[in-house]
Amino acid sequence: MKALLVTLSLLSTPIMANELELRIADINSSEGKIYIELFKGEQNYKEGQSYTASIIKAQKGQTTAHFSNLEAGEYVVRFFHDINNNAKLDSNLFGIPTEGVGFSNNATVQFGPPSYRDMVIAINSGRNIENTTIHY
Amino acid sequence: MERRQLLKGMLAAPLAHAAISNPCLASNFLATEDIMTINQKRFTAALEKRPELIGVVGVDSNYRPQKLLLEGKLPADLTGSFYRNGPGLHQRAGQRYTHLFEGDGMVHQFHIGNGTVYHQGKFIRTDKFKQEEKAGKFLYSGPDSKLQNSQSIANPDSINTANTNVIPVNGELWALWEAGSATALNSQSLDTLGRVNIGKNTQYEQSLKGLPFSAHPKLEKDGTIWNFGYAQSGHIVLYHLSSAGALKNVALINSGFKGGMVHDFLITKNHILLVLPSLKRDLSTEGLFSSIQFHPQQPMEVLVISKNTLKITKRYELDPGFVFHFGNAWEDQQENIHFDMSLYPNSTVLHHMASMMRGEVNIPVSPAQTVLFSLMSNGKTKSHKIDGISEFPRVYSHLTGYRNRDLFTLSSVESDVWSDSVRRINLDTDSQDLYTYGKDFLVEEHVLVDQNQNAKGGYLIGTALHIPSKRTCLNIFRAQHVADGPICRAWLNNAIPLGFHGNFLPS
Repeated sequence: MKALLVTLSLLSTPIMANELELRIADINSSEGKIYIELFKGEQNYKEGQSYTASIIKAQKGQTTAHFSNLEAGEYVVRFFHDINNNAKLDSNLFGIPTEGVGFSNNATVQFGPPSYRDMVIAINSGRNIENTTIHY
Repeated sequence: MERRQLLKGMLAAPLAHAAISNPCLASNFLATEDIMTINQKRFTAALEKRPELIGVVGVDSNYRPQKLLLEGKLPADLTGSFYRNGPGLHQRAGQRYTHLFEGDGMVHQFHIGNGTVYHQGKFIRTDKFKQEEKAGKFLYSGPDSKLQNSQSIANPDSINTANTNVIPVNGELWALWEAGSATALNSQSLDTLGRVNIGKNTQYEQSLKGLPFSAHPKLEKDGTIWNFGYAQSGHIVLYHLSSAGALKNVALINSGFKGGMVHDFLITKNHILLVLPSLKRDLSTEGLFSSIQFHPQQPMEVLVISKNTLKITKRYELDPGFVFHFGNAWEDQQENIHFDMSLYPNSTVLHHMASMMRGEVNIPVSPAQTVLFSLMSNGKTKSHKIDGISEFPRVYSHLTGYRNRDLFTLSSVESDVWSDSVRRINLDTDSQDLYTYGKDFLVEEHVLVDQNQNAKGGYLIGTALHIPSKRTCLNIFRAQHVADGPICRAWLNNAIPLGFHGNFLPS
């Protein structure tokens, strides 16, 4: 029995021990929080079904968010800076965000949100580092 | 006079920066070569053969204050500053924008007083301008130009060039661009103060942040400001501001118009008029201006909106056409509404402005003509055409929204390449009081100075670029005697980039 548990543990370790270190640059203020969502796969992204999410304190310049126990695979990350602490991404009357937004793969906004293909990154076994920037 | 060359139509066509909230605008561009670099090479080659392109070369530094050389006598009762705005920088690091509407804004001040005229010009230091100046190259796509590896354009203000018009507001200047926020400037130093949030310190602070504030606000006699902002979705925001620029009322209407551009509008005593030209966007075409197509079967629509409620009260249809600019509107006692527009038979002028940025000046373009429209209270419409080519219509500013006898416009008589004339049209008689500068001049918008609010007096002032000497001059006319020519002309030592719109602020 003990041997079986050890074996199972060894088997499961590579699946769930993957980590993502998300480094976000160009944050313009230490006020408020950064809301981050991870989506696994295109279908989940299109349906808005996040895999996991996190809220971290904003820090002017760069900050880092850590995610662990991730399955390997394709992911998209999106985040925004809730500078006024109202727990939502504010937008103007025409629906354009008025707070900072950013995406994985350092995808840029070009008159609209980037495509899935522009944002997708791979989470591989072990530690993954993703450097990206926020845009206001 | 039916077919004119490109540059004339251009000048005759002014600015229209269009809203830029469409996601497909700059996506999926599969060009294998850098269009902006090719554009630069083509333009540079053409410039050697076409001296009239001097006005759209652009510059890369400010103009320090210089005292201008006077010809004629400066009127003693004309004191103040004439401000103009336009795209001053079209190219960086071997790359050139593909459309005339994309260059970074530069504001010019002609200060008149104590028998002298001084000029200075400064770039508007938008966030975009500062970043690109520091980098020494373009970092962002424009509304029409696709820059490879463009920085994020998170909202229209990311690429706000503030390059279309400039108005005095509460001791400051507001530099305007129709797809985003106004930009405040110091009226003396021309230093940039920052973007204006129209809703600041109101409940609308977030909802109005970054919203388009068109380049053609209308100011009533008491300084009250009306304006609109157009989104590609067809939504139009309407603004009612105090003379100090404070928000008094705001509303959002859904016009249903998806033609890509609404440049100007009108007010009367009681109403706002929005004229929606015969345009639709071809969303498969790259670039905003390139995607705008004329639809000859699509009537122009006029939305009549109550100033009190900011709601649509009536709609009219006009024959198909395209328009950038209007002079004025007013309503009579029978509640009929009358207005003028510089009406194009199609939108070729818009698309040909891209050709000019490549240095192509031989492309025919259909010019605009002044047409007077009446929207009758019984739902019918009337129209009447005025002879001659027409653009940049202006009226005595104190008559905005009220009946005007005189309409002032640019025109073209001799030149096949640009506007070369300015005129006063007596709308009661159709008679024209016209002055022709001649083929050697590229004539820009002329505005009324009516500090005494006398509709039978005042001055008409405007700039013109003299091609042979490569110099720009400021010209001052007696407004009721245009044909007599300028009573005073003030010369710069150099040519300044052709701009779009401006206004006079009396001392």
